[in-house]
Amino acid sequence: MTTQIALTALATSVSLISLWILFFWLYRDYRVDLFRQRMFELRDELFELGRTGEIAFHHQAYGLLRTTINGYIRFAHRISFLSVILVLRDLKALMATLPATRFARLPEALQTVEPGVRVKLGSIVGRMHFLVADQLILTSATMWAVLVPVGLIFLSRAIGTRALTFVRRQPIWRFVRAHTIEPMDAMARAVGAEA
Amino acid sequence: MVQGRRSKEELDAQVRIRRIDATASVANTLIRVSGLSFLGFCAWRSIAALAGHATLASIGIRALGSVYVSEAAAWLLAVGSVGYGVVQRQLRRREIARFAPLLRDKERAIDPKRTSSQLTDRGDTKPGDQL
Repeated sequence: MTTQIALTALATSVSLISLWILFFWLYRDYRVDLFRQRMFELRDELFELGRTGEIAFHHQAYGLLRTTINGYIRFAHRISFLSVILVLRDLKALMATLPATRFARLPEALQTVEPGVRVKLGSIVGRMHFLVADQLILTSATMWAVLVPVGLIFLSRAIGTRALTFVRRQPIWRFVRAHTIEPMDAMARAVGAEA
Repeated sequence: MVQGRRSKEELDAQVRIRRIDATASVANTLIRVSGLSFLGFCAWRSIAALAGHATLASIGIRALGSVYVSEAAAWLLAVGSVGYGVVQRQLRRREIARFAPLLRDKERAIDPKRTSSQLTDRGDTKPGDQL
């Protein structure tokens, strides 16, 4: 190995180590803080329902939902894609004990509140689950590597034509076309015209 | 609301969840550390390849000689951005520590049985929960 190649390998290794630390420590810590902040906002919304008297603080649904949010906030640093896989593996044994406990009674408790409040509590529960899914996907390296590109492909397919039509109406489109698309088209024509 | 004596089923469920939690935590730590170790090994092999071919001073001169201004600026930007993020985070923690007790006391005045997420006053994970 020449000195130049060894130096390049060393620089690459150092860059990859930095990226690894950035993703698995700094970015993960940031995501945990973001998740907790969003959960605190949901908990504040729930508290506001109690403060305005829409639901009593001692109501079972209020207590269970608040406890669930508290649990997610407290153990946000341990939520991972791997733990979901392990839960799925152990699902049978877990479900054999969980339904009998008070931790599993939130759906039943939600049925005991007034319909108007139930809709609001249901909205909080829905957003809470969305945040958990969001956290699972965006903190997993595997999910980043597989799901995000797939999601972007579907997104571009869904809005691609509309986005292109919108961009074509913008003044900058002429500049973009002149400097990127037309030279590319010209090159393609040149290659295509070759016998 | 969810306090008081715990039934056998609850304790069983909690033990099972804790076991899953601990397994996932150990596996995640292994993934992080093994990846870092592998990259560290690659860096070490690169350094080993340089042994006998070049002195530290010549490597330094060669490395500095091949650094472009744009590359140096990119590195400076990356390190500066991370530093900025870390400092901002510390500042936010201090703000949380300043305002969290006020909010907690206000909420407790309205709901005396208010339950807590058990985070520290700075918004960090409780030391016993870190695993």
